Amino acid sequence: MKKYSLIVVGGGPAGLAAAVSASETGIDRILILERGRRLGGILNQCIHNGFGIHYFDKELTGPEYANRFIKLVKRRGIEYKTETTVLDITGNKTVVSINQEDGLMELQTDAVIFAMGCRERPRGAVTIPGTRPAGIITAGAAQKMININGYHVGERIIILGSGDIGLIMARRLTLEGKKVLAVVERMPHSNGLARNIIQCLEDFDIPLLLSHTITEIRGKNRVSSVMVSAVDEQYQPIKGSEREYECDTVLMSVGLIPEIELGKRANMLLDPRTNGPLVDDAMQTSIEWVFACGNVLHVHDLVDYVTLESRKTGKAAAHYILQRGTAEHYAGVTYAAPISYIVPQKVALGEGQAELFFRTDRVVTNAEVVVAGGQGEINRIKAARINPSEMQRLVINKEKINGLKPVLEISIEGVS
Amino acid sequence: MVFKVKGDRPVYDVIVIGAGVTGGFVARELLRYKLKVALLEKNNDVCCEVTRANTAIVHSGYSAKPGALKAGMTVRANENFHHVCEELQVEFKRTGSLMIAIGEYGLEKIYQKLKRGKKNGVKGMKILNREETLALEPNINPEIVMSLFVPSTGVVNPWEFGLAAVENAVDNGAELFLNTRVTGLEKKSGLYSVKTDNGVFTAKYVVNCAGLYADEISEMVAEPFFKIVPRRGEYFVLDTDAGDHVGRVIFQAREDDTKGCIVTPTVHGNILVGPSAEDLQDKDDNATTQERMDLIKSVIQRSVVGIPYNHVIRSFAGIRPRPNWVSQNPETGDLECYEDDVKDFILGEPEGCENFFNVAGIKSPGLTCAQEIGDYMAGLVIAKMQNPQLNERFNPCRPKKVRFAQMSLEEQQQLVRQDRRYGKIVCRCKKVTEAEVVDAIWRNAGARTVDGVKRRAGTGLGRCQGGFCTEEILKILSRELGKPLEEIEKDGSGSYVVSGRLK
Ligand SMILES: Cc1cc2nc3c(=O)[nH]c(=O)nc-3n(C[C@H](O)[C@H](O)[C@H](O)COP(=O)(O)OP(=O)(O)OC[C@H]3O[C@@H](n4cnc5c(N)ncnc54)[C@H](O)[C@@H]3O)c2cc1C
Ligand SMILES: Cc1cc2nc3c(=O)[nH]c(=O)nc-3n(C[C@H](O)[C@H](O)[C@H](O)COP(=O)(O)OP(=O)(O)OC[C@H]3O[C@@H](n4cnc5c(N)ncnc54)[C@H](O)[C@@H]3O)c2cc1C
Repeated sequence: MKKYSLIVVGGGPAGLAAAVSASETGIDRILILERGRRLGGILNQCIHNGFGIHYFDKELTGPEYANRFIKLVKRRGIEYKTETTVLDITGNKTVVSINQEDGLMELQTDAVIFAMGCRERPRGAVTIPGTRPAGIITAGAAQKMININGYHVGERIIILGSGDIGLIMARRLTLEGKKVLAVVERMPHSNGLARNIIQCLEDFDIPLLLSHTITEIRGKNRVSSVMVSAVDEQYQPIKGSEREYECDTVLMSVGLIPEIELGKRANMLLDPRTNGPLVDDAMQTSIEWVFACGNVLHVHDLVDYVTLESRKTGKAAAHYILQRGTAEHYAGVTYAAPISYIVPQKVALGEGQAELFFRTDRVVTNAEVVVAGGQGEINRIKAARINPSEMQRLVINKEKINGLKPVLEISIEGVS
Repeated sequence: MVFKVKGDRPVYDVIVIGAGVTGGFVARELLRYKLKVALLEKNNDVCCEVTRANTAIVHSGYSAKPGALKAGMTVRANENFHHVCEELQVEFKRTGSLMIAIGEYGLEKIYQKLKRGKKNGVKGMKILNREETLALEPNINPEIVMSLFVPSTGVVNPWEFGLAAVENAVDNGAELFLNTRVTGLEKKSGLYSVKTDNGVFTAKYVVNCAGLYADEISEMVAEPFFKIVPRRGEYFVLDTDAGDHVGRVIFQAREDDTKGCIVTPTVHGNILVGPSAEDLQDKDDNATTQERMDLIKSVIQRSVVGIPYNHVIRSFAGIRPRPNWVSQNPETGDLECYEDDVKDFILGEPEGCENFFNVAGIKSPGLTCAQEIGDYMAGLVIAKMQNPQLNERFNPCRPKKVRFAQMSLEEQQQLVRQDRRYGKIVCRCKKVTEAEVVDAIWRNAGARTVDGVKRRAGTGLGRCQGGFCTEEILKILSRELGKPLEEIEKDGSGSYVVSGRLK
């Protein structure tokens, strides 16, 4: 059996950055396993601009951004296999994977990094009443169909959900000469980035219907129309507000979920809020030799943050492999609404800084983010406006977390 | 499938109209004899109507009125179910069932079922008290009084069961014609001439297994005497994470049986919640509605509590082919319903129509009884023949399907060595390989659509509901069938997935 120091599952931006950074920290015998035809993950189908503004200080397309890391992987001689699916990780540090060349492989390793990304929520999960015709497709699948395969998914389109991928697709479809009738969003705010609302909808006069939802899908074999209603504060359709839109396609952009099947099968502890693994600030999961980063951990809005997080993860995994000691004492991270989740869920005690990411479940204005560490307040940060669509970052000096039962409490005061 | 030029078709011994589970088994059981059998199906795939959307329960037989054909068939079919599923390689689980009684009425009802069941010959039934019930199924409503436990109830993969019957019939020589809708029937010099939108077929005997449309087919030759009234039932499917919420089929003892919402484990490890019941005008209106979905939720909590609706991955509706007796008013000529409901299957030659057989009103437990019905009907048809010859080459077994995901690592390794296409995972949720998709296409009565592949290979049944693999399957279908991607359909005809090529 071939033995590796580190196996990275997933060759998207997270896996690539983690592998490069582990290699920089002195690990060799790294293997990246990617089930797609090429490295780069979701970025391969994101042919639009807007990647790398934070990390490279430059606007790149998805493939350009990915290529920068693919080059590094090649330059550092990191081994990778594409069209290879990881099927399982087992208790004795073995990764089971399969491809057409090697068949079934059982690979021994010292550590694993999970970088499997996320998948789109299917329509069923939101159970829209009506028929079940062809013409209902998730936004990401449509993006791939158009950008990678070169096929149109429909002519007259309604988009459900204002996630970024849906917004990007609204523009893409319009540029292809298709009619995007509206973007329908159940919440009173958009789930997409402000810049995408402007550049993808407003610039093309595509209406964004906030506090609206699709209440019925019609059409026997192919979608023929949908019913759209306004919703009240409990998200219940308001009778009498229905309007029929004739269309042949419904694009679903209703959220992403971490692709954590491998973790589930290995009984990894997950956070019910993020649906991803529970980790400490070194991105170590409840399975000591498995680390996680990128969208498999929690869904990021910008790939730049994925890269930063994954570099850190690669380094932490390298330290684990080199047996530079693991933490013994942790502070659990606690929070309350309007914060919807925080990653990592626990912080190792000791020196240095911990980086925390969180999201809120509603728009928050004129608030203060309060950080308390066991024996009182550590930090207080003013926030003029926090949008649910934008991930928030907090940096905390670990030395300030102390007390008998160390915890890290994050709260938001003065919510309006 | 044999393709012949129109007008140049042979004379068949038997034409079976409708390739659902019933038509499939009728054809299969007929082929135990040396016969030329054609199976005509209007859709672009088999088993796409009633057989595809139902509760999938293999009933034990305590509900049917003693003495009805249904009663004996259900009990026998249940006893034999494991055997038939072995032959046809179909997933079947004998889960057992509980009928939950709440209050006085419920008690009365379960004792009545117990009595009926005993008369019909159902074995092993037991009344359980509240504690015994909750010990078996902790998620049952603690307010229940008692329950009726039946060990022989099971669940089957319904479309697989139907497909297997059709496939096995074709393996044994039946000729299957898809996209062939029967539009008229005529008897000419002892032979039936069956008109379709795919030309004319001729046969000595005709068996009508047209499900929801069995009344229309019957009326092509016989006086109207029954009408199929569609009754819709809606369901939720929960993903496998919620799969252990109940381990047995949970019925409710209610005033009207057919409206009883059920919680059922499926052979795939999901949980099915439903069906509701609603009479319709339109026989193919299988849309789901918010009202019914809400109703199911409120009714179901009387029997099972804490159903995790956040694990719902799909909703769907099935349509029951409910038969009503009718007669023609001799004065006005109008059809009148003189009995609300037919309590049994309608099997046999209608008055004055020799050699034409109805298999109609096949509502629940039609899935359970399908093989029994096939056997019974084959018996009726054969009895009419002069000198029927046994078909020595009849093989009741369907070739085994490879289920890669369920194999050991050694077996998987072996398979990839034999055929590289096993090394490619197409459906990531259910770990279905390219080789299995190709097999689904090239078996007899094989898949021609994305959903056809799904029903045969199990793709797209997982958490992502085909979000990822639909594209791969489109490409494989396009390659194997030599058709452009734009022509590949999701399901019924006209359900194209992509609308054109980028310039
Ligand atoms: C459809 C879509 C569009 C997006 N558009 C934008 C955008 O326009 N701008 C922006 O800034 N961000 C965008 N994002 C977000 C950003 O691209 C992601 O945050 C980033 O790609 C996440 O990187 P990742 O490596 O975690 O995941 P991914 O890029 O998804 O990579 C994960 C990789 O893991 C592989 N994998 C998964 N499971 C296995 C397995 N079992 N075995 C082997 N390999 C496996 C997958 O094939 C995939 O290549 C988008 C995300 C999605 C889903
Ligand atoms: C909601 C619901 C729940 C049920 N639950 C259960 C259960 O738990 N257990 C159980 O045992 N049974 C159950 N049943 C009953 C079971 O599903 C049916 O009895 C069985 O599937 C009927 O099969 P069929 O072949 O008769 O009908 P179908 O599957 O409808 O087949 C008829 C075929 O005939 C074809 N056809 C129609 N007209 C024409 C024409 N003119 N020309 C050519 N072809 C034609 C149709 O396209 C179709 O393929 C349930 C049914 C429903 C609706």
